[in-house]
Amino acid sequence: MPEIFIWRQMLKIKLTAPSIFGFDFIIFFAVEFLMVIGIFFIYSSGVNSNGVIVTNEFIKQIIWVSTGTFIMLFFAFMDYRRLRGLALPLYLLTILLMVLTVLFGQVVNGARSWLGIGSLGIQPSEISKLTTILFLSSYLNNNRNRISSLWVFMTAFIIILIPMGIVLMQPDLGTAMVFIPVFLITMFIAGGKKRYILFILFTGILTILFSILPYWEMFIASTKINSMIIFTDMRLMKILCTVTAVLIVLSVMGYILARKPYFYIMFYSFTIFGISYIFSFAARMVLKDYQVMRLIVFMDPQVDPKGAGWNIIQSLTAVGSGGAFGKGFLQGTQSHYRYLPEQSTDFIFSIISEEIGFVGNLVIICLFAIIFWRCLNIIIKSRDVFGSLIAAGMVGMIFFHFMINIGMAIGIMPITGIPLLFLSYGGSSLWTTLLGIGILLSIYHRRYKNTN
Amino acid sequence: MSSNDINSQRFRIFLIILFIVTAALIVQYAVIMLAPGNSSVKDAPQFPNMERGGIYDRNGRLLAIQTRLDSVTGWIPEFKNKENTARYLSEVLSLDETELLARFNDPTRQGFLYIKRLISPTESHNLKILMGEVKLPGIRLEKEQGRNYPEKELASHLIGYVGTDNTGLDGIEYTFNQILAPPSITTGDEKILYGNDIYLTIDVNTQYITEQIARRAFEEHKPESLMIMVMDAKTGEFYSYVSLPSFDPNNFSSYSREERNNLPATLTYEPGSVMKIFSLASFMELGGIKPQDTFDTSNSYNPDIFKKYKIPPITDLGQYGVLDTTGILVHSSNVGTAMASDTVRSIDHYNMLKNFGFGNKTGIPLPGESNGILNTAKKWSIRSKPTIAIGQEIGVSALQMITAATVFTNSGILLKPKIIDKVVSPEGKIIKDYKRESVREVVSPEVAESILLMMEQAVSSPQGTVRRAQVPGLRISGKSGTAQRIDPETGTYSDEDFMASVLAIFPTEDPKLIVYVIIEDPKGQSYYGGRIASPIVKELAETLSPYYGIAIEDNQLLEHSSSVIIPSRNFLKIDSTIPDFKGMSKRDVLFSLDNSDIPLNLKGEGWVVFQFPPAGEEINDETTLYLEFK
Repeated sequence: MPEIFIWRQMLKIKLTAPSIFGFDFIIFFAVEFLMVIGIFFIYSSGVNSNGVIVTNEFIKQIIWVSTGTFIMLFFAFMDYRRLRGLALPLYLLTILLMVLTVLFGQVVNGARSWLGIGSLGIQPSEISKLTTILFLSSYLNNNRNRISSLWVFMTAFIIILIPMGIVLMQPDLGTAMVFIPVFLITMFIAGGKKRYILFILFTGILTILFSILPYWEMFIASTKINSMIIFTDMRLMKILCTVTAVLIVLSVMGYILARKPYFYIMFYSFTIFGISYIFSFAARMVLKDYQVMRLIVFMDPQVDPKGAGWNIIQSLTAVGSGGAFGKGFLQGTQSHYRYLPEQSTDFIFSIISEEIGFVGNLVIICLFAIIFWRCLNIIIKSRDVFGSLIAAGMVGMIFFHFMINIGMAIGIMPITGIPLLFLSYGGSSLWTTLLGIGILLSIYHRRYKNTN
Repeated sequence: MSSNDINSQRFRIFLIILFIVTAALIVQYAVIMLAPGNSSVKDAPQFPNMERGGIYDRNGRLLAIQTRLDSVTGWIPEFKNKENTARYLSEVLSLDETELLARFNDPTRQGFLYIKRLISPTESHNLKILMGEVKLPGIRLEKEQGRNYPEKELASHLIGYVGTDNTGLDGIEYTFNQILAPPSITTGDEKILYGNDIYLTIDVNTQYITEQIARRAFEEHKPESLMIMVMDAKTGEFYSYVSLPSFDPNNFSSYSREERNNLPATLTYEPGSVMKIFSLASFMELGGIKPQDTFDTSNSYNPDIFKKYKIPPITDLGQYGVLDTTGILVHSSNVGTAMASDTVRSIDHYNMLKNFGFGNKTGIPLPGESNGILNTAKKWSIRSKPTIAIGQEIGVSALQMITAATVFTNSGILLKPKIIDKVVSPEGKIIKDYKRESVREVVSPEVAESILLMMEQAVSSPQGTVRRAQVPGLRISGKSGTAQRIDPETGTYSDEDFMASVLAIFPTEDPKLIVYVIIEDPKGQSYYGGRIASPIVKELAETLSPYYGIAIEDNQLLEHSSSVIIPSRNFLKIDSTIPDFKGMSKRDVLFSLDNSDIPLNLKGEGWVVFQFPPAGEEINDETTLYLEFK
């Protein structure tokens, strides 16, 4: 059994604490403070209009926060360098769990992402974020001498593509998206070639743009834009693909023959265009109706105000009605009258905004900023590249969650259903993040070469 | 910088990107939270306002208009006390309290619900007062599109009504739904989408007068139903279209299907003796008879073939002796008409009736119009021809009858009946102007003229069946009819259920109006059309003639009249000061003010109980006359 193997490995690790003063108290308390705030507002989200608490989510969250803190401290005092060898087996183990989830997991909110019995369950996709960061960091660390090679870049990309693909199959688009910024940031910090990183970035952005444009034309644009037909007509698509392919081949030939940089630029741009173009067709075929509606209402919630646009409108209403100082704890109407869906997880930020207002929320944003600052500090201070890359990946993950979730609450990001780490209700994501923070604490703790 | 090989330039780039994204997020967040007047629940969903076109009478008087009425909605999670909420609401909105409470407690629907849609302004007002006194959390008033019919029951069968979703369900609202409804697809982003306006040929004043007369007759005779139609003799335009019992389209759902039934278009009945004018016109047109031909009606119509097949003979009510064609009409002789029918072939008679429009829809744009029943000549039995000639064995609609009469007022040409005057676009452009439309020439002008003159005799002659419609100084052509109705249970003619009717055209010398009065199953001592429908025709002729500029030479109406309201007494001349309207009926007020252009604000029905400005006040440009009726 792989699990037994892992635990045995872990137990061998000596808990050697060099000095209590080397501990990063700042990030520790920032995280704890955020989680306590989270508990308060998970409580608030469970209170109905008559002032009666209707769920026990906040009690569960207290349990997760306290157990999570132990996990965090455990990993903080364990030497993270032991994980270098464990990264691959952990990575493979989570892949296995995820495959099992896709095949046998429980369906919650339309995605088969839970593995477990009864009410006890875990989301392997949450854990996979962390194990992928570990394995990616370990791989890039091992190959840091040929980091700029295309081979290493491609291998690293495949490392994140495998868990990402499985998460997409669950299907959980929001969680799957997290892998992209994690990869890009880790790769960037590790020293991967910028043109490769930008290639992925541009292709991603163009794919999203090309996928959305026909919907935008159909539902939002006030006039008909005939050129949009190139994104919807299959015959035109084949023609355009052939043309692009020819242009790519020509630019490759030109580059080989003439060695002029602009042939390289042409090849680069046409390839990005071609891939995004084909991907956008695939995306529109793969996207489910509700996901399409989410994209449409993201562009204009008023297209379907009582249906798909409801979440955005209600969340904006909640955020907007908070004002500078908020309505006060437990005084929000959007949550207690149940206008907001998924208020303890995806839309916790909206509730917080409504009840403590802009000023109150600045405190929360500041706490996140402190966490980012400490993580960035760890990237620099880490004694080895492995630690730096883990920290980079963690920043990527936390920041992506932070940006998407708050952006969603204020209507500048489409609704993807990913939680606001530390604040949202939920065990798996909290444990995973705390485990990651624990590793960061360990990295920080062992930042000097002369310790240990 | 630590000793690991992290590139500090890359780190700085990363830091800057992170910083910019976070800053952008905070700025956007601040804008939403701190910007005043942000979106709230109530006004968040925005749809373009749809405004259904209005329905007007021929002079632009409003008959149906789009309104924004309140709907009461509830959001159950917000409710503090369901019992109290249900009690208060049931009082104000006249709903059933237990039923309402059951809806509140329905575990499957614990979210949004409509408590009552499109409540009246009074209910909104009361509810707002209530909500000021007691807190009803979760209860909201939302504006919704509604339809208001300011003239209430006036011409309601013609206008029809719309459902809660603003779709026409009956009448013009139904048949012209596509035209009245705003366009469902819009290219621009207009705030309000308008539908087209429809102008009816109906004249509100005429309709009002007719309806008042009809209601009084309805009181007097207690019939099952009563219809009066007034049509322009030269154009086929309906001025008035009354069908009683009627309904108020503002709350049509509280009326029965019978009350909402548009009888003139949908009811098929045997017309009885009125049919003789069309029969005799046909026989004359076919050359079978001439006006001066005489018929011996001393014995019943009982030809040999009737005797052979033991068919009961056709008889008259009285003994009329030898009659000419005019005499047949004056006495409404069945025997004479039957004898006259012998002069033509069945197929010719059938074709003539078809040409008059019987057995086919008139094409009026009203839902559910009846075809009537006219069997093809092949299916006619031995007695069909004489029986149809006297108005039995044929089913007609009132619309067919009055429309067929246009043949006599238009030199033998049948017109298409009109209820729509024009359709006007929201920009005020006339999209469709409904012109006089002739269908075909049915009889020669001479035949048409002689029928009119014969019908005049039926009114003016002392023995005429329509003599009770006489108006001194006015030449009226008329024909009465009394038909037994077929009892739907036994399938035979009923002894109790009669249709009394009179069709009249006046003035005979230059016909302006056709009126048709039908009384179904009157409960008085008399059921004869001539006896009970003629006085109604007389009243109509007397009241409408001045309005339509028809001269009544010997105007001594007061002496002759036994009826309740005679308008001439109450006509007021409007000059530079406001007259005293107190005690005047609404009809008289409207007559008096018809030629003035003072803006009016009328409230209620009946007689003036209050006026503002008071009598004697100077009239200037700003004067608006407010009158309250009771």
